[in-house]
Amino acid sequence: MRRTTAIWRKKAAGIVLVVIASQSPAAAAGLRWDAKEVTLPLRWNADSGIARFTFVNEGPGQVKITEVSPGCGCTAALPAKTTFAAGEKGEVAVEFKTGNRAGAFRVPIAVQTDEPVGSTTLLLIANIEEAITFENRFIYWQKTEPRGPRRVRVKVVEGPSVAFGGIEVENPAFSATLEPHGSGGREFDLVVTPPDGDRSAFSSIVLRARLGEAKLARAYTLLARTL
Amino acid sequence: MRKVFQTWLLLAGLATALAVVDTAVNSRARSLVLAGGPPDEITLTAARAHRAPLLWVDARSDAEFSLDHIPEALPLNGDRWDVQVTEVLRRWQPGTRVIVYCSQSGCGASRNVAERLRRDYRLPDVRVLRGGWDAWRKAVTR
Repeated sequence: MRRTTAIWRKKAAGIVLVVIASQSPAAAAGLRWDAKEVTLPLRWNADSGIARFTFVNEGPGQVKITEVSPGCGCTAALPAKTTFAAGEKGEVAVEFKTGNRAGAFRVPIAVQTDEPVGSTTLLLIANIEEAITFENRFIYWQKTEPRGPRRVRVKVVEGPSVAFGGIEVENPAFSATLEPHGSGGREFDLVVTPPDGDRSAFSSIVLRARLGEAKLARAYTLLARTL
Repeated sequence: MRKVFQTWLLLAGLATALAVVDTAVNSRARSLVLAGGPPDEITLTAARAHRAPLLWVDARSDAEFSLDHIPEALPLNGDRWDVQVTEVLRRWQPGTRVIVYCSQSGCGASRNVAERLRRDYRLPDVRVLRGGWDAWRKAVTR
């Protein structure tokens, strides 16, 4: 009787293991990604950066990556090995070009393989440091508000030297000046004055700066509007 | 023979039980994804039902925008940001709801643009269209 019970227990455990194993994702897909989401921190002066999505082929056979499609024009999949034997480790490397971007950007990357469940979406989060930050880039005056000057706090991150090169105001009915705020030399106020009267008007305001030892030229656009 | 039948019965019972548990867990997960989603997402139905003025913003590439887009939508992507955001802010009025879309769910660009409009330009009501351009196209061709 005891022997029969023990046999039954073994059988039941075996069946449970088989059923659980057949339900697990590893059985369905060969590539196991170490992380499907990679954060890429980029300094303010970086032109580009490379995110690496690493994986191991845990399937029983060879897996081929047939296509890597980044979700925006700012990224490009780097050419790399595409076929991976069982147990082999690999990576998908994606280059992110910063361009005129700052802050956090999410880029989905579709990876197609020749597996039965052959599509995976990876996520690249590029965190681009902003050398100069603005409290607000859009200043507006409602019809009912007095048309007085508005101040926008401008901050320079620790590290690079900064030399402001001038302010261009598209619409001469507006005016803008930059004033130091505090004594640290890294905070300023951009003071924007709208035109008199109740007419609606619009202007872009471009603040030019040179950053760091390399004197990298940067232009920051703010928008001002009277409604 | 009886033992074989008992084994088969046990196997079938366990498989059924696991299938029931798996279905329940997965359907709950699916329903959470469908019902929840990021708080700034809006369905096309909800967007159309909104009474205040809408400003559609297309976060896809200029090439995709020029092929087709939601009527009166304005393009806004990272490649020509300063020029395009100027047009968006010329059109915007207080009380306007901005709805940003990209190609489909999870395309990322719409969320990037929406976050930038909120963070840098302090626009108070910016949403992301769930399902993006695909959702719009399916709705209008139905």
